[in-house]
Amino acid sequence: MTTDSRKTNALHDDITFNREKLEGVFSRCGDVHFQQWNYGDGFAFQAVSVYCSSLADYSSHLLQRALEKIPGYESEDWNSMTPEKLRRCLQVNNASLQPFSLLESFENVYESVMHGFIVILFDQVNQALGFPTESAARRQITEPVNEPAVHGPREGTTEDLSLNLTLLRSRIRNPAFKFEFLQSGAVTKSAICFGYLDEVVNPDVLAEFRRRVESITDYEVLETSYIDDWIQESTLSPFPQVRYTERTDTAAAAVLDGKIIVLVENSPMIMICPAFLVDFMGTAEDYYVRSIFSSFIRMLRLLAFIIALTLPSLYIALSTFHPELIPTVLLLAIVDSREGIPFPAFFEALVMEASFELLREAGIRLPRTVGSAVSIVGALVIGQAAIMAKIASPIMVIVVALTGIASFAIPHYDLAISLRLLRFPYMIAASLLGGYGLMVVFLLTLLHLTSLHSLGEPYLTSIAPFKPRDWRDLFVRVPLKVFLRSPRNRKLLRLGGRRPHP
Amino acid sequence: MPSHSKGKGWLTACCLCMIPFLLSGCWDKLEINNWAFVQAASVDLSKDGRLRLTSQIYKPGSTEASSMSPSTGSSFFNISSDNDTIYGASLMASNEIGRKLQWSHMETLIISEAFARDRNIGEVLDFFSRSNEPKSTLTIVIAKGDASSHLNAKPLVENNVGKQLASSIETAQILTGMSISVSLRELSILAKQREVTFVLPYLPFTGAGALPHTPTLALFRFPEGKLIDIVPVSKTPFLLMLMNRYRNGFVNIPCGEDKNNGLGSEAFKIGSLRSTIKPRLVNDQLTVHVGVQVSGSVKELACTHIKTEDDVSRFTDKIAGKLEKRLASTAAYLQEKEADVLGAGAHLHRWHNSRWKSLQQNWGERFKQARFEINVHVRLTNTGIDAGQPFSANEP
Repeated sequence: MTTDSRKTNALHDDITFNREKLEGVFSRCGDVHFQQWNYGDGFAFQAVSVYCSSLADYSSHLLQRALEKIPGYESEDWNSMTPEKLRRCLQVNNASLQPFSLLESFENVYESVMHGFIVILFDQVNQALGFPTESAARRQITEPVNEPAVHGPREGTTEDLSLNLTLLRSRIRNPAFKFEFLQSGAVTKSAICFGYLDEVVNPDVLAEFRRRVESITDYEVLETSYIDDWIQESTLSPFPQVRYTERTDTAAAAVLDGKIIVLVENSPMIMICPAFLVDFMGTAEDYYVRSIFSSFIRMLRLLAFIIALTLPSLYIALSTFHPELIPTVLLLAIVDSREGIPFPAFFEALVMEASFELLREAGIRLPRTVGSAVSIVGALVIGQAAIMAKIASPIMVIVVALTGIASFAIPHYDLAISLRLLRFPYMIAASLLGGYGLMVVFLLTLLHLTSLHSLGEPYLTSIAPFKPRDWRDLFVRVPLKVFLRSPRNRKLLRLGGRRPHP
Repeated sequence: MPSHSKGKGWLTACCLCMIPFLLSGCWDKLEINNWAFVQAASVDLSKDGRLRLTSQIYKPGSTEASSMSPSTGSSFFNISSDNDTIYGASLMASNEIGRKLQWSHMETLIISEAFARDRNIGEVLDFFSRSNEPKSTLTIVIAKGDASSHLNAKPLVENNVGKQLASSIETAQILTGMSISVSLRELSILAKQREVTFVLPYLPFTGAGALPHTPTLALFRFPEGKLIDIVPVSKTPFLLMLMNRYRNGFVNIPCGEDKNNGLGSEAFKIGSLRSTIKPRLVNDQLTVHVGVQVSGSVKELACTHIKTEDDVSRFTDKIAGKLEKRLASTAAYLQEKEADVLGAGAHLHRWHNSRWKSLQQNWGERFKQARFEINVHVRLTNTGIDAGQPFSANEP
């Protein structure tokens, strides 16, 4: 802002002029109120409080007590206050002015009112005082619905950014845990905050992130996923390049791993970037239960990944192109069940998959009272009825059901929906060229994955290039004693000022 | 593609994606219900000298809507077709059924004895070896009488006759050593030799018979591919011993000299048997030294007590003697038929090729004149749970 415009934007001495200008800007904002009051000897001098009742809590007594302290410096009270004395108080700007902030321009006043401040303007004083009030009541901290856990903390983030930062800061009480703020949007002016652990995060990744995110300040950001859309490498890739979580322990663990977390005002989702394929196969709960059990569960998840991706296409390829690969008894059972079905295997699979997807989407949108009834109806009755009407064979229903269950077993929703999407090209390729077609789409997927990057880092980090050390946490979960000797932990110990164990 | 603009690259990609739909001919494929899956096949010689192919085909189960349970009892039907070649006959059969024959789940191929004596079985095997569908573990069987009658028989415990026959022969090989399971792959390897004699499993009963009998063996020779002789049942285990293809089996030792004197017999199970065959040429005369190492256990005792070391050696000597006698008579039988199934000729061919060249012309004659030296060593491992005395013996 130039000096001229700053001059024109500066508060006036005349309170009437100030008030009129403010009323003009806040016209038709029914929740912005102007309260006039007088002070001084014989209540000679005027003052006006401006506040937004949706954001500020005017009834609090804290404002009264804070106001009492201002003249206290001169060992007077408001009854003997005059504008000159007030000007002197403000000029000195001593400790009794806490927690007020001094506002000099109209821009500051607009911003403060819209952030829940109570702004007090005084006659014959060209500065205003802004008092921050407690924020309005927001949602309570509850367990995140989409990430339940049997073992572990049940703290989920809420829409209030400062509360979320409180939860995170209380997990990592270290000055190396940095939070940087950005303000985005000319109209919404929402706060974006990204955090990282200073010595542990990869500086190249951080620089790349900063470079990508700084241009978003022109755009109205309503949710964390807007930032994901902005900074991701490949918008057309089915694979997600960032991870979301509502659990603060997951976010804290990610920060300790050297990742960057991003939060946006009014959104509970914490975005963790960069995210790699291996990150989607693990949950925080893996580390809270016994290592043998979580190793088993990890391998089960790998199986679920494969089943969710390839089972329908494998069935189509084998039954249509390679019947000699199926054991004789199973083959004769398939032939029995497919006798009389009017469609070829591919169309049958497509119809069943499409109806399953419709059921799933319907289940998300339905109100909770009706939702459970529909799921029972959908799963049992429609499946049974389809078999009886000879639209689908029992084997196909099993295949589709198994695929659906396997996709629910994958802990992260983003990866599960990407597999749902990828299933269809696999089915098409299997119906065109059988096993060969399946291999071709495998190769294309692999090609895509190897060339995909998340914030400059390859997406298949930890899987390829092959380093046996990295595979340690991939298919099994090694006990903590082994993990304590890992390089990551040694780095963290040094960061905290302790010597790592030999 | 840094040189093209992004839009151009996408257009090319979309065009390329359309092409697989046209190139792969996705409208021209056979669904699983357009195939007729053949479970077993048989080849006969028809009256006018043509081949008769009978295929047993699976008929898909009942399509009633109410049955969600797996189909109870499978149904098969047989279809016969005549033609000069197997391929022609299979196409004729496809004509009648309306579905193309699929050979990939065929377990057994039955060839009739009449065909095997008259024609070369290689004619039949050529089709199955050349086609990409049949499994190379296909079992080839020679059957007495009309081969297609075997397909009409009701299988005892398996779902279909093909599987029944295949598993029956397999079990005979493993448990009793009375037959051998020969696959298409084995035959195609054997057929590559210049001249070879081998055995095939033989079913000495017709399909219409009341009680099925154990399969035995039949002798064949390539390149003629014709049946030479059917091995007598009493000689089949010993033939397999001479070939070193014997797995497990049993030997019955009668109590007295003659097994008909009412004193019962004892059973000795052969757990493992290994025979080493060393053909040697001594002054142009072939001497075959056969060393047999046997180890087994007692399954039934009727009159012998096996308690001391002497008892054991006496018992094993009795068994060894019996085996040597039988092996000698089987070797004599082979010599009479000039059937060198032991591989003596092959051994000389491999290791003494220069001499083999002069010998191979009248090898049959030489084999007939050969001298066999058979040596059997038997080892007793245990007598079962009971101690070494018969059930009703009451000595302490």
